[in-house]
Amino acid sequence: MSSVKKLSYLSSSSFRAALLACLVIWLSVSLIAYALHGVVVDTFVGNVKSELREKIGHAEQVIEAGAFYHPELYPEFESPEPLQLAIEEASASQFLRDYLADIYEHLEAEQAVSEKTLLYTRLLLLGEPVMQELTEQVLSLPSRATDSVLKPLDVSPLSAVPVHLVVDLLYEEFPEEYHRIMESLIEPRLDDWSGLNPTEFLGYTRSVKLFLEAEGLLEEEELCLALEDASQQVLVTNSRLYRPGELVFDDFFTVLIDREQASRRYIEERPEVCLVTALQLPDGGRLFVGQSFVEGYFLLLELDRILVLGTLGSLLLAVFSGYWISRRAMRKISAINGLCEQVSQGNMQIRLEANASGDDFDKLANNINRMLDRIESLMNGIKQVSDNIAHDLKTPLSRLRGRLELLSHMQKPDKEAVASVIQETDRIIDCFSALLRISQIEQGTRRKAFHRFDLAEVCHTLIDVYEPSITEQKLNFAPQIPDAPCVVYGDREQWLQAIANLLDNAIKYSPEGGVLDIQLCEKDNRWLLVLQDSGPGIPDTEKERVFERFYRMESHRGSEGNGLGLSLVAAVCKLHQAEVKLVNNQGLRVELLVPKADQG
Amino acid sequence: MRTLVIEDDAELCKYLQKGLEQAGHTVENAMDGKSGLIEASAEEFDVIILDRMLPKMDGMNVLKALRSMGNETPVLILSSLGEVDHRVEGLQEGGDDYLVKPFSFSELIARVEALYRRKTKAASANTLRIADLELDLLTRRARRNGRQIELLTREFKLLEFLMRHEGQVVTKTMLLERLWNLHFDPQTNVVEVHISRLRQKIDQEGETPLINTVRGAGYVLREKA
Repeated sequence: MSSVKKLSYLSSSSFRAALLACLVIWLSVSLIAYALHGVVVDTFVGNVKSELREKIGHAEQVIEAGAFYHPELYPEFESPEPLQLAIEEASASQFLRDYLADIYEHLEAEQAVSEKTLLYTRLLLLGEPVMQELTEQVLSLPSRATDSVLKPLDVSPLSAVPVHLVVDLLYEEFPEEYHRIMESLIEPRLDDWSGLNPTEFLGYTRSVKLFLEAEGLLEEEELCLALEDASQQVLVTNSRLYRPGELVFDDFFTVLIDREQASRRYIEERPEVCLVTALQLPDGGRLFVGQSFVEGYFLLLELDRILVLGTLGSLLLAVFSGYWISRRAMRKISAINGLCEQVSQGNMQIRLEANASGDDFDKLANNINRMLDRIESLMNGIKQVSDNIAHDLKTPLSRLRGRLELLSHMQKPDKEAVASVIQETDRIIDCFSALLRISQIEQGTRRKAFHRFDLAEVCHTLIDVYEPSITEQKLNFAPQIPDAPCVVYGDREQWLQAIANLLDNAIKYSPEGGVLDIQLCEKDNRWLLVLQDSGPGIPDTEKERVFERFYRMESHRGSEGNGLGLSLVAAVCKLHQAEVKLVNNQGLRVELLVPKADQG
Repeated sequence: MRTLVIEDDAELCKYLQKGLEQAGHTVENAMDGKSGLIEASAEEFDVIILDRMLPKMDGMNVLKALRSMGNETPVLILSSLGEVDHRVEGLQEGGDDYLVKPFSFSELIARVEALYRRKTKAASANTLRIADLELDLLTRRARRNGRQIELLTREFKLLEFLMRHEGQVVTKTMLLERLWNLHFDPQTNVVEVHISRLRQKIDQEGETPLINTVRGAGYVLREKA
């Protein structure tokens, strides 16, 4: 097989097809993966974005309404000292909220405290001069509770908190029927409280700064904030933002941030990431608002990496699959190519390997092998026939040559000798004519000469011709041919000659005084012609071979004949789809089964 | 006897001319269909031997043209196409006999003679008579030397044929063709057996044999050996 050129993969159509298929699959899977990736990113980022947007929107409202407390806004008030109130609390507002809630809870837990008592207590706490009323109400109050509640604040708290905050709180805490009491108590005070109105609007950027401080947002772990004024001076921030080169406002971007070490609760290996949006404030300031996006960011980062590696990996896999899928086909095709090359070089014995797996290549291999078998047997047949022809004609030709040579030496040519030379030539010509005729019949080119004729009439004619010869041999002859026509569609002349050949043989090989039977009848919707002689018959081993051209049995070598008679019979039968059977039955019994002609 | 040979094979032509002249024919040659047709229509011939395959004009077309001109000269067609439909075609187009190549010269001469005789005499008598042999065509009985001879049908046909071709050589092939319409040569010597059976009935001891064998050619029925 070394001479066989290996197919190169690139020139192999099966490889290209497999590769293309794998690449298409890879491409579609990649597209799906990218689409999914997009959805995941949108979900993660989208959640954070909407959360942030909501916060920003809320903050905008609050800032515009000035509804937050910051000491700078209310300069009339003494500046509260948040640290004095509670160290842990971030802002005054926050402190107040928590503190009041604490008291309320506490008092409620003591039970037996009426709502009114609670209200007065609260008002007292807030610095209202309601001690008297409270005393009346709560004489029964356990002293311990009162102590614990009142002790921390013996200053007037109201001087430290904005009134409207107190009102808000009380409204929230108490049922509606108490609102009037509160109002009646508080309103007189509010009227002469100049500090209720905040100072004039301080500018947007400054408002934002104050809001951030008042609400304690800078301390929130989740948020990262940075505020710049118009000159891009950082006013407040809780983290060092790495800003992108060009800012697109109202859009989101992720940045790595570096928080102040002190404000970091825990130090992690990985950097902190925020999803940040930049807002342009009306007065030129800039606010960066971001939300911590560490989990999502790293998840998405991981997802990206998986996607890129997966895409590259599956690309490699696709190419390899293409190669692997087509490899088998390539190998088989290479094998077939090699075989064809060998066959065309004349090696007819070579065959393909078939592995009985029953797949298409296996079927192809089997078919090719069968085809080669057939070609080989045909070639052998042709070779044998031509060998036979050469051999069988060489003998009479050399005989002829000898006779002619003899004649040339004669002084006066003998008529007898010339006649025998002519006879010899005639035999050779006959032989050729017979060969030609058989091959014409085999080619089936004479099918256009087919017509309907009576097989019985053919038999009668032949019996008429042969009867004297049969009688001469003293054969016991009793033909059984029906008088009614036995119609056959075919070439009458061919059947005449075929049956004549069979009769010739029967007469030739029957011993004197033997039996010869001819019988024509119907069998299985066909005509059955039987010729039974009492000759030596044909051994089973030679039954097939007697139909071969020039085949003559050893025992008949001496007798006359060219070994073509039965070949012609076989050819005629094949052309007419008739069957010929040789049976040894006290002599040879030849059975011809000839299809009947169609009706009409 | 004037014979025209229309044949393009020069060697075969020469051979035919020589043979026919030896048999007493005057022979004209034409090497292609056209000149053959011209010669055949210009002169009177007794027999025309026409090859089927000819240059310039096909043998069948020559035959058709001749017949359409009203020329009824007997034509023997030579052909290497021996199949039955070719033969039928040749005879239908007006050929009188058909001989397949390769043929023996004696076969040819026998057939040419037969054609010539057919041209000269068209017998229509009820009784055929040669020497002391008499064949009654109606009763299908023969009589010789005052003795009745019973004949089988096939024997009658054979004898009739031989008597109608009295003095002419009749070949085996001609017999097979005319009597049984067989266009091939059986391997066994069927014709010889037929002849010998007939001869047993016709020629008896002491009588002049009428059925004579011509070696390498066939049989002839005639008075003198």
